[in-house]
Amino acid sequence: MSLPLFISNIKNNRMIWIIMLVVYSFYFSIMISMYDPEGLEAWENMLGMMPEGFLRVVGWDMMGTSLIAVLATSLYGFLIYLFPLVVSIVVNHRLIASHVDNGSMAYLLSTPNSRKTIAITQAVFSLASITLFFTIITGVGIAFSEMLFPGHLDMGTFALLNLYAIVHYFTLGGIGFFASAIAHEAKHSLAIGIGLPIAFLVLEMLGNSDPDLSWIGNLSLFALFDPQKLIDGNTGFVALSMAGLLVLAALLYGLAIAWFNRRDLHI
Amino acid sequence: MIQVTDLSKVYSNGKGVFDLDFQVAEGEVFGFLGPNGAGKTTTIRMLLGFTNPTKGKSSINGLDARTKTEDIQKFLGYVPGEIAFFDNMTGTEFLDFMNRMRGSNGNSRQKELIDLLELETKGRIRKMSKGMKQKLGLVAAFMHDPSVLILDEPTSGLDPLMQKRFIELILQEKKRGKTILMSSHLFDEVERTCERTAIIREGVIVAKERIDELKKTLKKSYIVTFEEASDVERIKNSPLDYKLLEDRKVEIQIEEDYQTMLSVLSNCKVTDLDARKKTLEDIFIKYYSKEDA
Repeated sequence: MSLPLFISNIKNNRMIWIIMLVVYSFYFSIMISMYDPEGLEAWENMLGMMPEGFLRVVGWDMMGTSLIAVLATSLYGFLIYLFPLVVSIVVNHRLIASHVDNGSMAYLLSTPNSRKTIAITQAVFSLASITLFFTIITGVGIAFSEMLFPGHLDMGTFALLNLYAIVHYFTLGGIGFFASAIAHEAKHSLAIGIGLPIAFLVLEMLGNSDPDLSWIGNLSLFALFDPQKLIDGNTGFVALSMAGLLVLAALLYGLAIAWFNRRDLHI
Repeated sequence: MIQVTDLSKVYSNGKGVFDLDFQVAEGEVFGFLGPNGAGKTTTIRMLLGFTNPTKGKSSINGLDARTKTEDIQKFLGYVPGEIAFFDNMTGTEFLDFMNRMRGSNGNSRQKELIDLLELETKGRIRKMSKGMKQKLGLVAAFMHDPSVLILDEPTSGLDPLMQKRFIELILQEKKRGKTILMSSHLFDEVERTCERTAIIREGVIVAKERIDELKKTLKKSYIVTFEEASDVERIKNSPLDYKLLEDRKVEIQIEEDYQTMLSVLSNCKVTDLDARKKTLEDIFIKYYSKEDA
């Protein structure tokens, strides 16, 4: 672990990280302010304007009535694959692949730090950045909820939902980090880092679009992240999914570090 | 000491470097010469542990170059062949960063080098000229006062004045007992700094010689321009080895026989006399012709 490198990562990535955090928080403020404890009239009016097929695809057709259910289906349904994913893709790409592609990796390695040290530092940063992202988001969600509807948010479940999201993002980040560590060129890192999550998203949306096609959704990695099951109290599924996601993440990061340690670097 | 033993790196297209064998003794400045694409950088990448050899091995001060990089980097300075940096940093930020990565706070040597090379450290690296970036790379490689230096085309992008300063720097470091491996495609800078060289062509070392031996084998070449075409006739009738370049312009090649050339030229009206810098190309042409013979 190299502290100077870790600090330089913060400087390199803070802009995109902060922007995505602010935008995601903004969506939190909108979703929470539209919540009406007396009923979901405002919501239903808004959703009524959207085509039913679209609602099904993004999973908004099964909106619950509690605040946590509304947040889980809206902010942790489709939108979770927007803002945090951008952070994950960009950060993981920059951590290794950009350094290899533009040659600055040569300078990192011309210091008394082994490849392993460099790769581990970048992996720790990758995991830390997304953990901090969702930790702050948890705080933002609780703060907005308590401000507008004190006592309405089930904070325990909300915290667990975010922990679930963090673990899910460890795996997603693992894909990006793995691609970043093995790629010979920047475009290959991005192709895998962006392509695979989008493929998973498309599979999930296809699965949602028609009950007959739900099996397709199960082919997606994203099937392991199902906030609805957490809200419904299906703790068995959630615990198993989280364990599976953690194992996958450990494999991806571990493999990425080992591969990077042995590969040829044309820098 | 840098030791390269039976080292090969073969790429899937069949190119690469093959069975390289050379060593750089402690305190020696060694030139690694070859045209672009000959395999200089490929070799240096293996010395830095960036790529895995297909065969053979290399070591620096007895430490394996591929596996002991962390220990080697404690006493190694490296200038990459391609200029690439952390674009968003300023020069100062980059040097500070490199110091922190090396676990040091910088030292007086850093300032000396900045002054010597007239490096402008304030601006963002992204906005720097190619030469300025190269200077920054040089300062970063020398500032921790390493005992072994590996420099991949260290003067590319430098203006002639700075190339001169660089040669001074190398001679300085040589006096202080540094071991230096320097790749180049310019004969001139190698001639003035190195004791021995290896010449690499198409991945194979074609010559390993002392520089003064190498120099002896090279003919000197002078481009002479005359006022009148009739003077060319005089050259034609002299024993000089020459080549007609233009109407009134010839290239004369001599080995050590200055006297003959000067006496012939003293009878001509010379308007311009230019010594052609010998480049690696000339040495290569020599080695090609040697093979043909």
